[in-house]
Amino acid sequence: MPKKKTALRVNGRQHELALDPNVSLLQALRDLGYTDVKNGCEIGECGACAVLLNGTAVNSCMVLAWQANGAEIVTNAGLGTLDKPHPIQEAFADVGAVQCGYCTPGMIISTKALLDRNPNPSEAEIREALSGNLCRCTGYGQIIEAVQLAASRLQAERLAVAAMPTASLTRECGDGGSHSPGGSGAVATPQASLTGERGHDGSRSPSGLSTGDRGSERGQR
Amino acid sequence: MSLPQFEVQQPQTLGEALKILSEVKGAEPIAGGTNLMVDMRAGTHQPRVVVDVAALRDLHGIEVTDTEVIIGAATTIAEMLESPILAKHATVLVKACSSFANALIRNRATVGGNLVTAAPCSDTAPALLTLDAEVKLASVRGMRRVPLEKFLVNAFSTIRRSDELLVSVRFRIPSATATGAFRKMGLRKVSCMAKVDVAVLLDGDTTGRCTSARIALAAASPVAVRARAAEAALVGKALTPEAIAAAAALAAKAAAPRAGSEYKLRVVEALVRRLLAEAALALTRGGSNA
Repeated sequence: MPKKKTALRVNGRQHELALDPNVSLLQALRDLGYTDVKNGCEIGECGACAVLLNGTAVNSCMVLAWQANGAEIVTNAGLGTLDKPHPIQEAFADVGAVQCGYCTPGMIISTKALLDRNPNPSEAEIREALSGNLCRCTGYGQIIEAVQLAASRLQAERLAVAAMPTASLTRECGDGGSHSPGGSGAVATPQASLTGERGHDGSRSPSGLSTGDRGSERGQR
Repeated sequence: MSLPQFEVQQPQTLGEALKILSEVKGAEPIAGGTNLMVDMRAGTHQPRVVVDVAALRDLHGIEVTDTEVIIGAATTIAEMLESPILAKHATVLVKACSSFANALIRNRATVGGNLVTAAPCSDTAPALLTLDAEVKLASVRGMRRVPLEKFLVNAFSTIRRSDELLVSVRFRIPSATATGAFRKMGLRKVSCMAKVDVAVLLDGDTTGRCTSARIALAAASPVAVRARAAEAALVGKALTPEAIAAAAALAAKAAAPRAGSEYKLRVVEALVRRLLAEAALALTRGGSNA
């Protein structure tokens, strides 16, 4: 079968691929080394393979790689690093919402998609948003708690940003280098991987908190 | 688990897509892929060529005219859930979408795919049946509009010919007082296939008399069906508990569950009774939209 040329931007890093038409996005991502995207069921039941595809949480096992051509993909690892975890990741760790950890990347992706759209979800809304992610260890209690904690921390950060004088905000953002709003952010480093996600945030909600901002806000806290 | 080999065609226009479907043997459309990917992995479905229709502009969008609502076939379930047009004119369909699979699948699965697959447990089909929806099929030979009830033939079987593409689904805007209700019974709250789906759309006048009743069932028969005898028994009658119970008993007669699933007859009767009562109560309060 003729190969399909497929351009994927994953966690801010550009990949130009030529793939068999039957390669799923899940397989393509794992072959590229994004093994935080887990291969659970491959029938769209478990959500362990969830990624953000142009900002929408999807099961990567249900998407053929060529269908994602030109798309911006964010995996759990693209949200934060070990040194600088995303507040959602931090909340999952702090609450102990992780047991075996297999479902965690997908849970965090669904949480990110939820909180991007609904910063203050009810418990019912959280359960609905995570309905596509199965966890066979925790019984979901701590996971719901972690999402609530992440939501309240992100809210607090947003308020901190709002309280900041404009000039200072600009300067703080500027410190992030490639994180600055409108910055090219095309450098393929783990740091730059954050800009991919932020670029998307920017297009969806101009007032949305950017990952770059977050680092500086943390300093303010 | 790898997928079988297949070729891909990515037409840029509806015309190109229809040409491919008519000329390329074994070509099948793919949009969200949430059914096709599962079937291909399981080896139960092996198209030689898949035709990507997800990006075709003609298949997208939810529009409202003076008289009708038109939904592009490649509209996702999530898009339908968020549509202000559907929230205003077709809450029965929105309720069906909210019980559809899970949040991740709803971001990919499309209404066209759900109807063309014609699974017995389709969630959108019973809601659209109560709206008297029509589907539009296109091919190089032209367009045809078919009532959804006629489109759905049997389990996983529709009247769509292999060279035809489902382009859109449309329905007349229900009256401002018409009230819809939908209930899915599954083994879990979310992420499950329906054991029984019931959709109702009820309209009445100020005296409490039923002026229109539509009742549809899914997963209780090989394919989603209208319970027409039950509907006929209600129209023109006062919406009393007795009339509703009689209609619910008739609705169960429209179901044809598989051997071993006779319990579904009782479920259908109970759910139809409850939903009709809910809708009748809402009507006495002025009704809501569909």
